[in-house]
Amino acid sequence: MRRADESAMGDRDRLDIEIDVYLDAARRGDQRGFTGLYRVLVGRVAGYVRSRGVLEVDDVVNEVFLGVFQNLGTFSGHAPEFRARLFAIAWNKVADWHRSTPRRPTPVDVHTEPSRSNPIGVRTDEQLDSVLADQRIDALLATLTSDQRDVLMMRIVADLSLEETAEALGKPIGAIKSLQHRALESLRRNINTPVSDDVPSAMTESK
Amino acid sequence: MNQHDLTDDYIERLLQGNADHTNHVAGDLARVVDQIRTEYTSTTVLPVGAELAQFVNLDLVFNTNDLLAEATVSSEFADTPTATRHHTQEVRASIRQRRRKVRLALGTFTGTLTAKVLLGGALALAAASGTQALGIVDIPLLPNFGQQHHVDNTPPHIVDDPPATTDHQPKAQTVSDDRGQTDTDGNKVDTGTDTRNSDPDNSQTDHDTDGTGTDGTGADSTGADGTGTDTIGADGTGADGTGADTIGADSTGADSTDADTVGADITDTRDELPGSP
Repeated sequence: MRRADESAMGDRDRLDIEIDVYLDAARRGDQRGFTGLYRVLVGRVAGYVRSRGVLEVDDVVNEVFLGVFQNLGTFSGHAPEFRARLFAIAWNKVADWHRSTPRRPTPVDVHTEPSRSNPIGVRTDEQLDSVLADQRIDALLATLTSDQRDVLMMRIVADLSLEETAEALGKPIGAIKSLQHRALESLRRNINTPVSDDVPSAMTESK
Repeated sequence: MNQHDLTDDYIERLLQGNADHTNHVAGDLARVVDQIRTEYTSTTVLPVGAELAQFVNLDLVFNTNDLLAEATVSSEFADTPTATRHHTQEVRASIRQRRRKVRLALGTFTGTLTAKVLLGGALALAAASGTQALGIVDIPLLPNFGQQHHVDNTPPHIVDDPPATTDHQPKAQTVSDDRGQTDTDGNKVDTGTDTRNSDPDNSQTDHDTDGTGTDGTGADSTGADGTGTDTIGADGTGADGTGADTIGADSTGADSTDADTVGADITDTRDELPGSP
């Protein structure tokens, strides 16, 4: 177990070193720095934005990076602070998107919905299982409150630490601990509960 | 696994993907967390918009190690200017913050002190004025409203009360009781004159004890010596030698200011001169 912790910390340390290198270059105005930051972090930002029910993921992700790059001159921290700032902006952009977009349910047709890997919507058995699993995950996440989902997504998808999550969401660390504990308890209670076919609209509700 | 098994330590391992999957309940939760991570974590690089393209160029090919090497060389031979700049900025920000706090504290202290002084002074002045007005204390620097009020009411009684000069007994009593003090009308009584008048030999004033008017002073100047025809000596008993002459030529005591003294002196002289009734 300790070896796993060390491995995880090693991955995060390596990522932090990489982010620091790109951050230094970006502060010098080097385009390689901006590009490196975008390449390293865009997957996590896009995952968080998508997990919060945003449909125009590309547009929102572009706005997030544009916001953080334009204000890089006022930022004086290192990799952990940069990640927290990046996801704080992402949190705000997601909220803006939900405010500006009429609320609507997003029904999922398991058999015909196209995916990124299968645009025409033809499913193999394995892909069908995967879609069912994804739908189940969405249904489980829909049972959480908006704050609980924010914390879980930042911890799991964005890979932020407890402190970084607290900074990004502007909440005390104790509140973040309580929220993630309740979220996991809720997930554990609902794991064996049959999931309805319709994906609840809570996935797209605004914060 | 019961509910208490979700400890902070276990939750941290779970969220970092290091939890044990073999547990029959926690394992399910760990698998769900892994599924969430797999579903939403994407390695796909999204297209860059026109505005973001000013910063990001996805066609740019570069090696991260080159940047890392440049940063390493920079840190070894240039004393990490970026880190130094950041540290300096942090220190300056801290100093600015502390200065703001000190200024705020000093301003608060000064303002509070000034307010206390002003308020305390006003209260003290009001209290002193009130006590002086009530006659409890006498503070010379403060105006005495009570005495002013008393003086304003008294003069009409003095001026408009002619019998005061003719009524000898009360005036005489007043003078004999208040030597060296003000009489009941507030005028100064010449008690020295009264005393000297009790001893004819020591009298420096114009009085004639023997009634002959041989005294060459004051009374003689009127030319009424010796005969008791002194203008003041209306009583004809040599009273002209008393201090009445020193008061003035107002033989009738019409002078309201001197009338009391005149009456007083006459009375005293009558009481103390030998041979007077």
